[in-house]
Amino acid sequence: MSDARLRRVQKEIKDCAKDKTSNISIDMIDESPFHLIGAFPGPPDTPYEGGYYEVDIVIPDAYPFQPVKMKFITKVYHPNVSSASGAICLDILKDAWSPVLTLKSTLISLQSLLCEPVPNDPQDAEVAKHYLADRNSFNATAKHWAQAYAQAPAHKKKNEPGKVATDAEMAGLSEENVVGFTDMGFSREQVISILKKLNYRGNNVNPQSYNAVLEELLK
Amino acid sequence: MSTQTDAAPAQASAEGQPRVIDENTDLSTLTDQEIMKLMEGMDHQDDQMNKPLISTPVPLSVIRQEYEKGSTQILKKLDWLAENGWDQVWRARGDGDCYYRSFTLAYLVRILHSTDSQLEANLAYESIQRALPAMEQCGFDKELYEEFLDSLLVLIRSFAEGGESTSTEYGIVQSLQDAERSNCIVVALRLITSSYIRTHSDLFSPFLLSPTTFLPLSTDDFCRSEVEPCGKEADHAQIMALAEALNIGVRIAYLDRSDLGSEADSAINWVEFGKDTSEPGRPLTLLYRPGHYDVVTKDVLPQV
Repeated sequence: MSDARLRRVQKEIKDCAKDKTSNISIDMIDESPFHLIGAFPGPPDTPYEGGYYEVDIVIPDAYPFQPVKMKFITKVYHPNVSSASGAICLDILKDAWSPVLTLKSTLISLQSLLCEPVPNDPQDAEVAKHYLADRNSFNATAKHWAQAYAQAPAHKKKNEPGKVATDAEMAGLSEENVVGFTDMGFSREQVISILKKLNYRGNNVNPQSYNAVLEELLK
Repeated sequence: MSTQTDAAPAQASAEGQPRVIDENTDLSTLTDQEIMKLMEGMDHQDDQMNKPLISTPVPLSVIRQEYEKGSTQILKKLDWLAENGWDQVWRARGDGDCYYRSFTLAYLVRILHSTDSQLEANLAYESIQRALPAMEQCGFDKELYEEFLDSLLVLIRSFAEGGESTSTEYGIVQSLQDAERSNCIVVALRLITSSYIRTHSDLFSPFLLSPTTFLPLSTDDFCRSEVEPCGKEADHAQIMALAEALNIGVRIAYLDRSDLGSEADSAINWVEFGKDTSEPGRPLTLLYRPGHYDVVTKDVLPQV
């Protein structure tokens, strides 16, 4: 059983190393070819541009008849990636896996997932709500994350080089809204967590949701 | 499935609401009822995975026993099969690959029982070779699909060369019970099916529907989600494509609650695929029960 699996994985690693055009890398962590790290650059013209994304790869015993297990090591702000665990929601990693797919083709699919989020089938519901509620604000937050976690260079126009995004910006919230509640004496951490949960952004900022936030804060 | 999410107290939970039992549950607190329920679940899960991928034939009467308390229509169909000599069933594991595994068995048994196995094996070999250009055309990685195909070609070649391992029904079943070989063959057949649908898109596209939503799917989406992944059931489109691609007839006896066959001489609906499904064309014969395929054959000795 494992003979064919080993042969196939070794071949995949070798082929990927030979391919200089895809910009995808697959490296061993230790001697085992069944636990790997894949990496690729964030796709251009997305908030992830300039970032460098690492993915944890585990080859299951029944590979290639069972899908490879992948999750992001690098933190990513994306509707289909858990911002806490890096878990990925992508059909080919689940029931649409086919044995003709490879580690490289799967990493390329992750790259294109970064280009085209599928907010209707989210892994991270809060991020998906943000994406659907206010695209510009979502893009800004995703970019902050790329700079903070994926070594993307700060964008010259919007941020001074080296300027670190605030906790509100990292959560995709406006400083003004956060301060509005912290001024009442609530802790900043608590306010950010609740505003995130209630998706207090864009059109969601209205008297009704203001009351909902207060209700949550007073719980 | 229980939907209760609160951590349940150790003692029996509120009436009617089964508590959630997980790895943290103290086993000594389980009630007899809960133990029975857990065992049932275990049986059911292991049931499929412990079954052989494909098994040596059982008499049709074994299948009949399963339906004795059930629909009379199904019993009538089973009786008709038995009366007409369709008396043995080769069961495939119900893991979503049963159509492809049944197809493989029937395909190899057909070669075994032909008057000239060597010739038949060579014909089969050629049919498969003819399906290869379509696979390349669809952009499948040649090295990958050749490795999967090889498992099937080796078996067929052993007939052509008069090899011993497959020269009996038992030998064929044994070869196909090897998980890696059987899975490779399933993948190879799935790729042949997919590339046939992809290269005959105009023919198939009106019939490519999602099995869950019944909405039309693009050829690429259908092949990607319903044909190429392991564990996805074959439906008419896949069955038709595989039969056409390998130029073989397939007849499927539908053991469902539909009305009895309309033809006077048949109490069962046979659904036919591929070119030659007449008796002399020796089509593959499968038994369909909703959601599952097995092979059904007449227990005749090979003609000499």
